[in-house]
Amino acid sequence: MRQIYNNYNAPDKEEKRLNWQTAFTSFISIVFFGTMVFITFKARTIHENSLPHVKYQKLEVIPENAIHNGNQVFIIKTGIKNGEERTFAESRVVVKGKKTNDGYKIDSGLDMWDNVIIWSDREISNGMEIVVEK
Amino acid sequence: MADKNEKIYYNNKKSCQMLVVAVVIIFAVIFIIPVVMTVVKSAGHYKGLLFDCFIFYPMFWNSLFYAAVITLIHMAVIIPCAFGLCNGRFKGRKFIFFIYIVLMMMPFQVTMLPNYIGLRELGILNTRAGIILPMVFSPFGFVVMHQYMKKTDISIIEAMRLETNSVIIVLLKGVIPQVKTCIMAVFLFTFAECYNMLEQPMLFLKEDKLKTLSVFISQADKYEGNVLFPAAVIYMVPVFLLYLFLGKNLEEGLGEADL
Repeated sequence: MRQIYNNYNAPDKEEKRLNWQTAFTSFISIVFFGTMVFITFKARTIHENSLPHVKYQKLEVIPENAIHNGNQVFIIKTGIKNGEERTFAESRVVVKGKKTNDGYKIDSGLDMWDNVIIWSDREISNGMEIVVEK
Repeated sequence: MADKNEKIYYNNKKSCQMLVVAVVIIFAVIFIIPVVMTVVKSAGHYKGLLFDCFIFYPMFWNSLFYAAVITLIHMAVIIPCAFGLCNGRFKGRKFIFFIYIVLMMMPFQVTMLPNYIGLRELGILNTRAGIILPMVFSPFGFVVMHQYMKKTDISIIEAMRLETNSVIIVLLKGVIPQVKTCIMAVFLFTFAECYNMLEQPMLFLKEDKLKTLSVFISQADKYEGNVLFPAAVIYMVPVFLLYLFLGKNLEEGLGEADL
């Protein structure tokens, strides 16, 4: 028993410090890279969940709930932000025409290719980034 | 009288030591201030970088990928080359080493155009191979490894030659355990050099998705929001962690190699 005890080399102070340092560094590395991997896959989803989701249509007659403040509609515009194409809401002042059962005909203010936002899950403003639901 | 002189000597020595410590602390603070300022200024801007600037992610992983792949292949190339040049006996050995020293001294701006033309002729411009291949054969690591291998114990190699004819086994079991410290130091140094490379991705790559984080940081004003400081902090972390793992070997390895 004494021989075993005499032959046992207890780790010295320097070795203990290095073991703690290695363990700490390994822990920080796992946390850092694990977080980066997670965010790499989930960042876009998290970002899109924070944006208003909208539906659009090309319409001759605009529903009443798509007209804000009496004469304002929002259309979808694509633009470049941070190196990639994204969609934004752009407000347009329109002149309402004849009222029909489905809504209002627009006399001026919109072009024939404009996609009008007819629904959004939260309030939108001019220039706000949006997510278009299919 | 002798005691008095001794006292004055020790007092002077202590004052000098305190002065040296004070100067070193001042320089250390001066060097560390930009890093601290970067970390402090990055606070509050991580959301704009991580959740609104998605081009950051491919560039971050590209930096790590290029650095890791280049370093691993580079180590696999320079260890046998240094061993061969060190222990081989053939004409022109010193001339070859001299050429390596000359190549090591050349700045990137000199070899930039020949590299570009070579990669274009090979058809690997705007590909990952165009970044990896030139860096794999960089001469600095080879020179450090060669100088360190000159100090290895030849008697171990000769003893192993009695056991086996295989050069690979002599290298793996006889030489590499002796130069382990230097291998770690060169690994760390090469990784840091590849991780920080800026000119090669800017010149040889066109697509943003293939470029590295160093390019992102150099063009940070192109992106909305204050993304420069949080990107710089995240950029520092992998190399810092690697240094924590291998820093001791860096000091021993580069210190013992006669450059």
